[in-house]
Amino acid sequence: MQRGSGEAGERGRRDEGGRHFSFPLASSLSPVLIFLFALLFPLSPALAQPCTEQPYTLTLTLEPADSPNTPDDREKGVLGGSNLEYEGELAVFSDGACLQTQGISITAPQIRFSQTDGVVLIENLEGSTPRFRFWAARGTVKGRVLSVEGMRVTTCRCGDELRLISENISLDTGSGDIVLKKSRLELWGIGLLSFEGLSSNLSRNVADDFGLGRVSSDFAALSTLRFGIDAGVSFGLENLALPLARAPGQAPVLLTLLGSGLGGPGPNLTFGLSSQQGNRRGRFAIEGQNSSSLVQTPNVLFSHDTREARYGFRASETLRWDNFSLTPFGQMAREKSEQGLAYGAELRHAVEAREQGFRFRLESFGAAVGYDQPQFYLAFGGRIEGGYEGAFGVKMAYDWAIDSRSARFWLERHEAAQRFSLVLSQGPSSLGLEYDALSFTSTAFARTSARQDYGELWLDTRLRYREGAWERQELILGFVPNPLTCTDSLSLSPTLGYDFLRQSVSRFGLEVRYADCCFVWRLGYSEVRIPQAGTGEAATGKWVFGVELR
Amino acid sequence: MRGLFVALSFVALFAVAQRFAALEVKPNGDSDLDVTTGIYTLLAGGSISDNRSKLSLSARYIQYKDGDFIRAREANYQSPEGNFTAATLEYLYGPDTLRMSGVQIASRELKGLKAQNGLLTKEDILVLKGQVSSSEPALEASTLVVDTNRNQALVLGSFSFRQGGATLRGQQANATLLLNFAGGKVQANTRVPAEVLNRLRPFADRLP
Repeated sequence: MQRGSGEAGERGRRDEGGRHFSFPLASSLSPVLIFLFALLFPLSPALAQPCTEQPYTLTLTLEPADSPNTPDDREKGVLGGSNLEYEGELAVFSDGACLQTQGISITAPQIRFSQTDGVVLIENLEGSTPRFRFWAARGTVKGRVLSVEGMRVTTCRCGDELRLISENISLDTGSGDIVLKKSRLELWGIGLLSFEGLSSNLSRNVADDFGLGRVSSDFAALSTLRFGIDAGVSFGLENLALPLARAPGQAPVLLTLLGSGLGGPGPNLTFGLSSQQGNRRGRFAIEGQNSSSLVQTPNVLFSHDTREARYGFRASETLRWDNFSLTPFGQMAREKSEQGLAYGAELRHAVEAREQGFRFRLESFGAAVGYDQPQFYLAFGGRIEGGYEGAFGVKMAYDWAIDSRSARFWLERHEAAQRFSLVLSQGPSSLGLEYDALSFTSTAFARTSARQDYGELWLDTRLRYREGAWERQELILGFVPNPLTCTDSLSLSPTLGYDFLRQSVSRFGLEVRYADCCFVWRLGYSEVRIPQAGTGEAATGKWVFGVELR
Repeated sequence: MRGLFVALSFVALFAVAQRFAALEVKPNGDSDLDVTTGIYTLLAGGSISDNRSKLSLSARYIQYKDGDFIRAREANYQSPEGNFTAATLEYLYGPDTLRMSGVQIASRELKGLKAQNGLLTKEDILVLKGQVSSSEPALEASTLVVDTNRNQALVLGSFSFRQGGATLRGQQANATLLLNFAGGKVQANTRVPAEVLNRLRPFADRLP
């Protein structure tokens, strides 16, 4: 029962700091769950103190003797415990032992360290990293690599309703790279996925590997699992990272499978795959009757979109010298009824200067394009950017582009622009102004927030003035609670907008978040009552349902 | 008396068990005898040796009363238990103990061993207290009790002990570590047998 009491203590400590609502039913269930958990996993006694504060510790250098780091700078691991026998070659910690290295801590009834071959041997271990907890029958640490056999991993803060059973895991404590072999993902005891290999990194949120990452505090942002009611029901997965074997650092393939408008007048099914690695990216999507794709590498671009009736292929080569780059290209494209070949080049020049907090950048371009018919397209423009980052921040930019308005396809087109923008910021407050000289439109925003113990209150003012008349005067208030850190806790995130032009509420929303041991469940409703100019929004209500890994 | 070399030879007979039983005293320069107290002072230092028990003490300053005490400063004491240098040294005939401060000990098992205070008892137990340290193996402790006859050393209180690339630490005031020296190897165990602890710990209390 030592394990159970350790769990209870852990939960008690977690709950102390929180100011959250709790469900009495769930709380009363907890001792039962803990008891079952203790029965199922009678492992080592959880050590209450950090490993470095155990009565006896043994500090090891994990990096090899030929490491370029000085002995003091080499990565260290600490073994600790209540008792130690050490005869110079074999150290045995007993009566509750622990191991702590960079970002990982392990407890076990006994830990052995053989100085001769520099290997730490651990049996019946229980471990944790900032991202997950794990249990295993056997583990060894040699150098910076922890290898574990027969391992159960969970990201849950208590229990292990979501767990990964893995035959073998190796973790490099220095780089944080982790490789799992022959693994099975289970939720509530049901097998979801099994895979031969999975690579991750401790610094990356485990949730990202399964596409269940935290979303931004933006109320409307949807997480991977999406549920909404807006002219029918929307339901599905959005940008779920497929747990395919990949090398550390390699970008995941994201899957979208989404039904929208279900039960409404225009039901739609979206299927999409996408991935991006550096300057290479690819995506493919089928949405109802339409499809779109993009494959882009530094030299080749292919794109199609049936909705816009666009197909295009471009081959290019970029030549660089100093601050100049020249990109000659040839392309085949079709846009609506227009179809043909094009060839041309884009010349770009960029200079940048930084001095303490100041920054200046000037970028300019010119493009010349010819076609397989007597037509020519010219465009040139640029961007001047300047700013200061220090006790306060200033950012100014001017974008301009002029073109001959004779582009045949979207691939080579540079829209004409004359836009000035300015953003001032200090602490949590920022003020932004933008003037578009071609559409005679001025927009402004002012945003500030106040951090409280329980979260952040924010206030956002949006203004838009076009051709001598106000189009938008909106004030939006919202509250973003602190991320839920306690099990069985709730938080509320309300938003309210007021339109001063129409003297009425423009939008409102409320999101409820609930954290259990493993997940944060989100349920929210937001409604736009008065669509605002320049936002492209419509007057509708939207339900949002989401789930994130804690 | 200054400038005059006086070779004095004393032969004192005490119980054979005494550390210093049959003394041979050689002053380096002036010496002084207080006839009322019987205390000899070797003002420029000198040496005292006991050929029978193979002990010798040399120091920059020695004060001594036959059968009662020997006190010395900047002393070098050589004995079968090891060679000691000490800032101050006091041998008491009654309990047959040698107390030292600022002591450094040349020992085969613990190289570069030193401490603020030391006590060598009649039973050949050496107690060291205050910033006890050695260079090889690297030990830092507050109290060390060395049983010279059994090649054992007991560390009491918080300590650090480094051997090879590993550093062992005892972090609590009641930490213990028993070092056994055998065949050029050091075996360390934090779980000290009760018999050893009960035998050696009382010696530590004899040195404040």
